[in-house]
Amino acid sequence: MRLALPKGRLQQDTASLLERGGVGVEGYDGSARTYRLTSSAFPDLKCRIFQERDIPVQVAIGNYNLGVCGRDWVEELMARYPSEDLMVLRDLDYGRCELYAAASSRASVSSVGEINRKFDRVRIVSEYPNLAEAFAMKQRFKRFSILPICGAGEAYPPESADLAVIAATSPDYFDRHDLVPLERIVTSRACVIANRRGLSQSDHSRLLTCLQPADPCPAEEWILPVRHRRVKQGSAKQKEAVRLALPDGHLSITCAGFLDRAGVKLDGYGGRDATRRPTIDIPGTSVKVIRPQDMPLQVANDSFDLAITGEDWLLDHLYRFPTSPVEKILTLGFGAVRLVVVGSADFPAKCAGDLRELARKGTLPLLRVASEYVNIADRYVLDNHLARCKIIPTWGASEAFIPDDADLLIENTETGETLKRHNLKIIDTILQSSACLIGRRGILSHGTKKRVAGQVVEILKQGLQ
Amino acid sequence: MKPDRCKGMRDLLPEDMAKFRRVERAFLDCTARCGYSEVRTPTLEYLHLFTATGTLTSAMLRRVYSFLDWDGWSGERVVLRPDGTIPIARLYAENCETFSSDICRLCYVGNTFTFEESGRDRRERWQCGVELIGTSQPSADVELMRLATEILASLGFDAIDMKLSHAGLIKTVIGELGLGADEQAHILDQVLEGNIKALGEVQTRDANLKRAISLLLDVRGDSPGFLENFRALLGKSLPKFEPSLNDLAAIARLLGKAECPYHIDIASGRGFEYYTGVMLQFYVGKKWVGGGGRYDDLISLVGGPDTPASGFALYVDKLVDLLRGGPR
Repeated sequence: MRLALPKGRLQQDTASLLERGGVGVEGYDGSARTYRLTSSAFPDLKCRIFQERDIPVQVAIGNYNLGVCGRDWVEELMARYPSEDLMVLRDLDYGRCELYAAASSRASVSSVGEINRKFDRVRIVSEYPNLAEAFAMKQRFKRFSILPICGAGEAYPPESADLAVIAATSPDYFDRHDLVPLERIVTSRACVIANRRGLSQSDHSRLLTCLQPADPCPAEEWILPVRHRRVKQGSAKQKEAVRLALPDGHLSITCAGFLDRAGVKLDGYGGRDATRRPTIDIPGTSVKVIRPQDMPLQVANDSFDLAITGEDWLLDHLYRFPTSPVEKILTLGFGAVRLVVVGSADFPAKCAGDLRELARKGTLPLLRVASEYVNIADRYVLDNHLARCKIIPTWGASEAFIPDDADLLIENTETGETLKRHNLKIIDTILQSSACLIGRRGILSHGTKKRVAGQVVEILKQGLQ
Repeated sequence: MKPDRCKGMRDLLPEDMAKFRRVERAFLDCTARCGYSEVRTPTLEYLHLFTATGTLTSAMLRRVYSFLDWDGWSGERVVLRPDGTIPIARLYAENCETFSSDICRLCYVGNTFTFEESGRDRRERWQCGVELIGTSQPSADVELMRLATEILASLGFDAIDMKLSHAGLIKTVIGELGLGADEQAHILDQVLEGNIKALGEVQTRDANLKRAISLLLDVRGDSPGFLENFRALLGKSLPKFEPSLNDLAAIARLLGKAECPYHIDIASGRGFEYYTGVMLQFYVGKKWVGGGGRYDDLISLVGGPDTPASGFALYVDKLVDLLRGGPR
């Protein structure tokens, strides 16, 4: 029997649930440095830790019999791929969040209908692109764009998006981020999900008895503040500012160090007081902090003029959109990683040549390739003629996919230590990647922003020395 | 190992292809004789062409094949066209200055794509379609009905049945039920998907309306007199039904004069959200082989001038299946 368990937000409460139910999964509290765990009470139970949004996919395709994850991710999967194989068995009493379509309080709108009337094309950002699209269709928006993001949705409206479909974990979330919730899309809690076929063919009753909520799920409604401030639109000067995106997450520490070397003064970036909108001492420049994965798409859509991201994410974007107006302006050198193709130690290929030869002979089974870099993975299997291949998109913790849930992995590595610890070997190197400055094509050569954008580039060059 | 064909897709082997061409030839011959010019629209269209209210229902939108094009970084999707008429409306809106006459007769042969979950039914469907643009006269609707039956007759089919319904009547009923916007949209979705009974399941305290729904759903007729009965029963208490009943009666009278047989069956009204007037379904025996209707708002909805229009499509795959074992 196989159980998929969530990493991150729900991990602590799920660990308590398992402990209370006597399942005894050692190391799930974070003490073990592995994603594969066993249970003392259930010797036949294999547990695997996933990013939460991977769990409904893994259960739907039958790799796992049961899983615990937020209902929001179940709904996100089902919105595009309604599967009869996936069942929600019960809600649990923790992990509540509410998915709302929200606008900026500076947008002066108080209803979704107003959004439809006000904008010719409604730009919607979301970590839940399928639910966002279903919402836009239900609202019969005349014209809309869905911009999938990996996080930091609250940073986008109003300049870079008209709506964010966003998960709030408390009623004051919207106020804190200067957002107005317009319409609720999903109420989510942690839930137990199952593969329907698995449930009809095997007896999971003992484990299911253990996965019970301690208390009945509270049903109280959130009371959300209804307010829409009318704030002056940005001045013409603000509109002409060069919009620079800086990365959050682990890259923010090294990026902050780099900017410091370049002599850039930033308030609210890379430290404890980090905000999504730090201030910068380069006149005519505004800054937002978003996920590096999301930057190329945002620059392509003219939401930002310049951005510091990884070359790996730029390549992934350009493989998906070959004529995208985004280009690399400067290699910055920090945050260096290698993008590699990885297999288990006993995978029957040592290098890319072996892989192609096996594919040519037809001796490879249906290959499952897991990666966060879906477009690079797609191009790699095409370029190497790896016929009959499945690309499995992942959202992190990818190394544990091999060997049970994938045959190959396309992953970044700094030192290779994590791969070794998971008994994986490198078969091919696709790219040496480091942080880089990207921009919209032509930003330095024409238009009203070329002078300031040029200054930003010159200042950043100082950090290279 | 044999290679797989994509689920829901169909190969046409020589024998079937010959039948396909036979249907296509009969269609193009008849339409050319009646003054229709053939056009072709691309397989890919922007999704937003189909998402506004009054184009495709939400249920249909959930089954379109949509994806991001290679230059789709803006997040706007394209679709494999799920319908033949909306692209023609777009074509007309884009090129209306180039058509010399006020009344424009266009026809097309093309495929449409709709996801069907089991993979047993077809996901790619071929249709021969006709659009008569620029007139709201009942005679235009009758011209289309006669053309459809003529095409079917020229293929050797004799058990041709034509059922008429009216989008105006159905939308009036839904509007009168006092439902919220979401519920109204949901009911209309179901009705257009072919589940007209959903209308009867809505609870209403209005006795007149209850009687109207029951009459609309249960009674079928094949003469203008049938509609006069309706009018006598409903006209005074529910005046909003009057324009649609008048329209349908005018069509029925013209069909009678032309000795073109028909059945008025309001419950047969399935199809697209863009229909505003008469809705048509064509049958050979019991097999549903085509449909159409009047769509006076669609062209302006996709950005063109305010232009009335109506049209129909015959489903080539179904006709090919009938020709396999049916009449020559």
